[in-house]
Amino acid sequence: MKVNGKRMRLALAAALLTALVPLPVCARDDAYFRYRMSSDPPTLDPIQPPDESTGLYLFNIFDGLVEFSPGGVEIVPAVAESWTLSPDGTRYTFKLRKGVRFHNGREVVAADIVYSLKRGLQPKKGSGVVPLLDTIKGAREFAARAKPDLPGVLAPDPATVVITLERPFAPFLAALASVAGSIMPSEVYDDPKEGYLEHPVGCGPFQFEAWDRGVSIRLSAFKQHWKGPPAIAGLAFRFLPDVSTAFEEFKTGGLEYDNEVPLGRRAWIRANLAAEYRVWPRVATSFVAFNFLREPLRGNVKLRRALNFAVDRDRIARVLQEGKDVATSRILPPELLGHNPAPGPYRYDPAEAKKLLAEGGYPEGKGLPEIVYLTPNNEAILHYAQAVQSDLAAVGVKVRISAQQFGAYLKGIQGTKESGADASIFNLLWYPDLPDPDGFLRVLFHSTNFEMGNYSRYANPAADRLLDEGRAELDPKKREAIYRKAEDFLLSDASCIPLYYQFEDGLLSARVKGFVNNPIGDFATHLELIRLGP
Amino acid sequence: MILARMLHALPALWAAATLVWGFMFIIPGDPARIFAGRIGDPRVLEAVRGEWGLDRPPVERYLTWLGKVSRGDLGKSYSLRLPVAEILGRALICTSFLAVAAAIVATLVGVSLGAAAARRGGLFDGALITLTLAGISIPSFWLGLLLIVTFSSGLRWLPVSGYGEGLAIFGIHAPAFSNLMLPTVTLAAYPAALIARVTRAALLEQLSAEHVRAARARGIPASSVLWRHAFRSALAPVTTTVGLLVASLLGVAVATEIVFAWPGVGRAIFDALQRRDLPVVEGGVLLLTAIFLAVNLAVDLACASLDPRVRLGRG
Repeated sequence: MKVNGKRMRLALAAALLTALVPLPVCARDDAYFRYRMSSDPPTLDPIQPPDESTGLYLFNIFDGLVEFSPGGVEIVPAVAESWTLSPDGTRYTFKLRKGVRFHNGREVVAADIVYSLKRGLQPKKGSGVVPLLDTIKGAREFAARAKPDLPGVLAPDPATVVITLERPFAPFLAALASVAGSIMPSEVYDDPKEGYLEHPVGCGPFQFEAWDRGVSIRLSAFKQHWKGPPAIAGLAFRFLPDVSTAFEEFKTGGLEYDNEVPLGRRAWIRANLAAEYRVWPRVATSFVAFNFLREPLRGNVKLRRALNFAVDRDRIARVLQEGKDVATSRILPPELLGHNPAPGPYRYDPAEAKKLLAEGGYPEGKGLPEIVYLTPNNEAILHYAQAVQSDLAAVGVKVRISAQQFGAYLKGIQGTKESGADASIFNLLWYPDLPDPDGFLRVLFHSTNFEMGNYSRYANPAADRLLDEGRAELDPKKREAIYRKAEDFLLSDASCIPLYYQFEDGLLSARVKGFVNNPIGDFATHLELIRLGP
Repeated sequence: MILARMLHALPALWAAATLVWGFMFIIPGDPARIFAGRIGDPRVLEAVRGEWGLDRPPVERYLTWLGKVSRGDLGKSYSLRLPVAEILGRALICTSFLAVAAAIVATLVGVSLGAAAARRGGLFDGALITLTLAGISIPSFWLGLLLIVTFSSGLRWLPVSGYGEGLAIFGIHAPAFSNLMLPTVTLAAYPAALIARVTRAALLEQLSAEHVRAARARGIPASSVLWRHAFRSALAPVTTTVGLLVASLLGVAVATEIVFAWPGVGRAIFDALQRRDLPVVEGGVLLLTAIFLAVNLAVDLACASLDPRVRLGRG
């Protein structure tokens, strides 16, 4: 083998030069609104268990009878142009809008709503929306396959849908506005080959265009949408797992919207990207939950109150959450009916905490076993979990943090029937599936909900009574009074340690107009209303 | 002999399959609960556990899975509801482009720099030692971000991330060249540094060997002595190192794939792990093991052809 050294050197130099020559950055897809997501969704089937990320695609591909207002939690007409409610509060009659079409061109008729709600009530198909719909008459029996029909949903004519409930259920319209109310065409969703998992068909403002796994999902504007065609060509959801990479993409114009700010960069962003940086409230509260099946917290309200007085919420919100969130010792966030704007009953008061600790049988924490605190292994959450730990240590309460990977944490908080969660206290950031106090207080504190949200296993007949009343009451004024009372009761019983109302922050390109964040979550943002400037 | 080596690979594949299955079994996090979300409806949990076979005894689950895998059936993803082979097949193509590009760059740069250092010595050799130390020490995710900040955000020469769209061959899209550059450099940094060091050491050893000194004494030109006598003899350890590193590139590409949003196998396994999508994780690890073993065999064959003293099956 003869190798010419000079030629080899030349080849090497050429290779290095090629690597250094600047190349044009590939053409940008400027007509699409580019949105960062961290990973691919599992599927695009609207009946899969509700999930923040999949909701975003589903809200844009599918419409329901009603929807959430832009930027709010009010219920407004969608495929149904109007509805009436019977005096006893159990029967809704919806009149459908004329000319609403699926993406395959067929007109939406009342039978499609019957079909879609029935499809959502099939746990055997892995449907996760059953709990949102099971107040419909006959829904539980239908879901359990005890009965083949669903008497609570009828289509007396192609333009009318009648839904009857077992009993009055105030958040029912909110349930229909969620992904559980997505309207699907049966000719697509009865496909035994399940082609709809990758190519969904709805009647929403954007239709499915392409799914390039690991790269992006593209939805294009549906020109025949009943609201009129969206003002943008489409949506491109780019899968960028790394927060820092996404941030650089935003800075270089590769994204119009980046909904996750890198930790520790907020001060820099406020100073340098003030026009693009936005903060908005979320219907969510972060708190430390108690395990009511375990000693010593069970049955010792003074101890639970002592822990509430020992935590410095302001420091957590101001310093550890970089000033994004608002400290609170209440549970219901400001956007929800029943929210009480008055300060909560617990301020930061270590002296009061020590006093209550002594009254609870543990003077200066003596005799109190070490408390295990379960949290997800997430940098931001660990920051404030350590702050809670040090605040409690300052009054004599020893806490050991057990930080778990998310799957293990989820299993840990759901725990077992016998002993509840795997720890005495655990971190919980609660954003309800429905923007209603029922989706907050009942899910978290009603004794019939131990396996589906009330992981504290909190059980109190007085609280149950108030929460049942609130669910059945249809008058907003009366409901507000009931939920305020319920929240006061839960706080006086020290059912948890509220920490802060969650706010979200992100970066939005200055070329985007008409984008209004929804406090329910980004998935409910009306992307069909936005426009893109030059 | 080749057949014997291939048969030897089977126990290794079985061990890898069993280990990954065992790990996935013992790590905390129930796939059904993760699928069902934070409100784990017991009706949904029961239905999916039944469908996925999670309600059956562990030994039965293991044997069923092993039986399917031995027939080439990697199963279906829990969350995506697609065949695992289809998911990994697409991802493997993307990773292969990246790994092959990184292997070429690492080999060219590593061998050239190592050879030059061995030949020149002095300051150049010292600089190479420092450079390779940096290449070995810098974590790939950090190097990736550094390159993005410099070449994408700063100079605006290259795209920040993504696969891009290059030429299509038989319906398979190659990545855009501009998108391939930064991840390639990131992934190639470590193997290039290691190859440079091994090349330098092997070449220095050969340059003082008797047959090279004899060649010099015969008056053969210096460049011919270097390339024809010393370099050829040094190729065996270099080839082994290159082979092992190239094989491992597929597995270690995960950090690079995450930083550059590259839709490869490492990222597919990482995403599946988050969701406890066991069939994808198990299939992915098995695939990487099989590739590693195949590349290893190819390297042994290459070494045997380069050095007649090396014969397969003789240890």
